[in-house]
Amino acid sequence: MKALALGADKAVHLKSDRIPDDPGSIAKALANELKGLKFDVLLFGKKGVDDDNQQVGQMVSELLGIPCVTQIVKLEVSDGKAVAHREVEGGSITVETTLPATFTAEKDLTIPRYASLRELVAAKKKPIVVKDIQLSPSSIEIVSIQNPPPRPAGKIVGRGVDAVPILVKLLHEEAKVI
Amino acid sequence: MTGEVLVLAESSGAAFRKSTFEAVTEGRRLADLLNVNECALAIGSGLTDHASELGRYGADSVFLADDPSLALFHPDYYRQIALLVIKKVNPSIILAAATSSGKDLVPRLAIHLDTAVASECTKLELESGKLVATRPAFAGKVLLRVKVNSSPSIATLRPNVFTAKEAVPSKKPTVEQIQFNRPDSRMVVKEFATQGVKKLDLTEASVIISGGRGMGGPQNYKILEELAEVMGGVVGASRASVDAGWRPHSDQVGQTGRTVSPTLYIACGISGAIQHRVGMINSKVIVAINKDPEAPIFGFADYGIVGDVFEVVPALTREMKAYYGKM
Repeated sequence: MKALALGADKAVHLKSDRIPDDPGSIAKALANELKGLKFDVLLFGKKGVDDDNQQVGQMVSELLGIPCVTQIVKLEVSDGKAVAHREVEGGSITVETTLPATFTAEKDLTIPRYASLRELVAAKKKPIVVKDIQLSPSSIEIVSIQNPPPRPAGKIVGRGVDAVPILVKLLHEEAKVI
Repeated sequence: MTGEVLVLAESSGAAFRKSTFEAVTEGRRLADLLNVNECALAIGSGLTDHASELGRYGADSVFLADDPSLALFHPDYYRQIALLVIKKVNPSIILAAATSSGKDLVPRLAIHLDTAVASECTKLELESGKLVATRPAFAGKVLLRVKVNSSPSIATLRPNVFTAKEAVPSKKPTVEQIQFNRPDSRMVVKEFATQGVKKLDLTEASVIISGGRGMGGPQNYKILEELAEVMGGVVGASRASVDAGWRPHSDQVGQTGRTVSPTLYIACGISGAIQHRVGMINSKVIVAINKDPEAPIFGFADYGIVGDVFEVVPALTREMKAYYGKM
């Protein structure tokens, strides 16, 4: 509903038979739906906020046989072509590609805005198509879920500038990191 | 020999990344457990003289695709070469560092090979020959242990978590050149632009000095740069300071930025909100400098100084200078 309010004209909900926990199965389902559709730009976030896998965008593109530029912070589209800037270690890489193509967004690509009340009302009239689908078998299996080891509070070395020599001594002698 | 462990080596310029040596070290360990060979695939430009370095960390053999057009990561070129070598080697396990190009490439390979990837792993184990990986999810709030049931099993390794260790005895790897025939591609990888003179990426740095809202403005990061220089570290930032436009997003540590695990993380004027915490909680030692004694960061920092960053940080820089001077 939020996506529709922010500008999408139509939504499709692929309702899966189980919680999709394998990026490969998700990608196959999406590619199957997208196959045969006409589009120029396919946009993904760079990764899900749950599983943090960062795989689906690339996998869908490979299945569709179209270019994919990941982790982009800037995108210019014109005349069946696009120039995207990927954020990488130590800088950015410029990639030019023909369309259709897939892009996965890094945080700074756009600043998401809030939908206006008028847009929210209008979104209610836009179509959401629900399709029941069966995911392909998962090749990755969650064996267990654990809490990360706790990180107990350390010590307050002191207040202000006077604590600095004590800190350096502790980092050297106790923590042994310098 | 089939069932080998294959490591995708990554270079930056004409040198391998530290995270590649970490992956080769871990690959050696798994290869020994499986009693198979470890091989590495190095794709890049100007790597021919460096190929043997992968043997120092345990690779028995190295496949080398060395061509000027491979200097920068190109998904189509790298994918073609990797699939060719995988077909040749038929590995049981494929490892890569969880870098921007590693994370871009391996899902592409996985879908072609109809297998799966465990992303950003922090620990690898073998259970009856199958790869079981531990990986943080839900922004580090939980650790998942996942088993990859298909072959080859693929994992990306979070940089700075695994230790790069030279193999004893050191290997003299056989080196096989891969003939690269540039495939047709609809993508042109044009140029790499660096931001300033940053030498090291946050994810590979062993010392990170981070500044938050408490830094007051972009001009004040100078004191952090000075401390970083003395300690051989790099400067990071919290989301608040990136959203304020003081620092570029590439400096951001946290849920929507980088996840780092340096040996020493010094948080200056950072409150320690949950979204920052998840990006740096795996640092070996955390130091917090904040004038608010109630700041959440003191709840998980190993050492804390309650004080004004504008007094404490320059004092720390002087003290570190004296310390390193004595060494």
